[in-house]
Amino acid sequence: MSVEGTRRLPRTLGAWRRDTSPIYQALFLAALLVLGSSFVAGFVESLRLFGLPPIHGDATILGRTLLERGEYATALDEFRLAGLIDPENYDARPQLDFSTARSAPGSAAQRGRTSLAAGRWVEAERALREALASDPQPELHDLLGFALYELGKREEAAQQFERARALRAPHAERTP
Amino acid sequence: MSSVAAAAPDSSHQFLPPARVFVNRPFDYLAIGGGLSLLVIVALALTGQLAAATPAATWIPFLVLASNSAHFAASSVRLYTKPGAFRQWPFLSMGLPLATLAVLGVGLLWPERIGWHLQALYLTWSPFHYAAQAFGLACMYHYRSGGTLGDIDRRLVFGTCMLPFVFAFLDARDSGLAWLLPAQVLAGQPLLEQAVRTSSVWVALLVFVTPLLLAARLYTKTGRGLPAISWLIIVTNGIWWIVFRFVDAFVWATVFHGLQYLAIVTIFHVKEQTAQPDNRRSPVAHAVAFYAMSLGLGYLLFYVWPFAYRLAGFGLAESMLLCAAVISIHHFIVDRYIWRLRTDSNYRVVTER
Repeated sequence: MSVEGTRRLPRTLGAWRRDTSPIYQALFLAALLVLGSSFVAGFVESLRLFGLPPIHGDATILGRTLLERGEYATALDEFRLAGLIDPENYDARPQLDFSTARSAPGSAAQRGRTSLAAGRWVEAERALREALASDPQPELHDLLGFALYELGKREEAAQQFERARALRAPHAERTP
Repeated sequence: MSSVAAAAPDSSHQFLPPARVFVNRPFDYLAIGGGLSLLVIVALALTGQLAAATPAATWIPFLVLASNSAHFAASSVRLYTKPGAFRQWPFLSMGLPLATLAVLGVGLLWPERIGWHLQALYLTWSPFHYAAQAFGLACMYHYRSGGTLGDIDRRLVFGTCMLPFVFAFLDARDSGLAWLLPAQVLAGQPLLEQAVRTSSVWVALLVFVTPLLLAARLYTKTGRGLPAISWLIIVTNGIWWIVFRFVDAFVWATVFHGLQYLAIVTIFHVKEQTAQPDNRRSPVAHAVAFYAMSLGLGYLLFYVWPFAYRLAGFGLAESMLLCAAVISIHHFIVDRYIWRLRTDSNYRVVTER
């Protein structure tokens, strides 16, 4: 800080003390302390969540990060709230890749995928439950989770994502 | 931003009188006039980089921080570095920050019932703020260049500047009229819905036609129009709200609106600080220090602060969105006061040579 700066700061603080009431000064300093410590805590929290400084993170990225980590219920809440508060600028739905699901032409799984693509969530849910009864592959659980999410059944959707994850886990462990 | 005063009148008849600029012509026309935004958007369109999924999108957050986030913080930095601010605006400088914190807390506690109203208020107010800034700057250059405006003409300039706001109010999907009149209400009234859509198209046309009519009126009635930079500011704001939105490139408008604000607020800050009797710093040092403070505060408020609420148990989505909403609303309110001219040192900055 320059010599001029070191002179001006005490004068500014003096004017602030003279112009404001003691009650306000106490409140202001308390708020400043809370704000300052929250900035430090916020920076640390962003490193914990993303491993990166906060400029790299937003609500949609956090939702995707949580999905990748398997924290489905929290991820869906993030997507839902972001989409609810600012639908124009934030993704309101998780963007998952369901293209790997096996589905024979005309099968229930195929009908489920077609219904999902067309946004017919109720039909998709029905067809995918039927498909899962005979072929419980994790990709179909993901698809069903997506349909349930779109129907507003977030808890059930999270359960389906968790089942998909559980089904994938043994395969992942056996992979050399 | 608004301005209501006049310097010494110039009686010469001119359709586009020369503007008396603050720094130099290229800087004033490109940064404050918004000319740079038009050049950049044309360059991006020609190189196919307008779409959000292009590589440019990876550095857009940094541009938004450097310009838009810093500009929101700059109004607070200017408020608290302005001599006598606590005495002149006790509620603005002391009560409003605490009130803002309280409102943010309420919004975070009930994001679905109250939070989204805050977001909608911010999104509704934002185009008004842009339009008011265009009006303030257009008048500022007119007065600075020796022009005057009668009450009626001033209202006409104000109305012309407000047209992009009216368009955004009618056209927005989650704010403006859509906030006050939900989609399900409009869906049941097809005639009303059609009327709103048609009106927004007509208003979009008026945004670009009205300045021509107003320019003709000003010249025929008073013999003197607004300087070219004033028209550039008015028309550029219309292009931001209509053309940029249409090509899905509105993020660039936020960047250039921030640049416009940062340029003018830094000029005012530097002129005020260098006029202090005990000043020893150079104008460049004042400008760099002011921008550094604004950039640092902008980063903390928009990018770091929401993570503290996340740590406290709130979702990051509502923390980020509602922090941004209340900081913006705080900025809109502060701007209503710190740019007044009649009883403020701003008047000297606008009129001095």
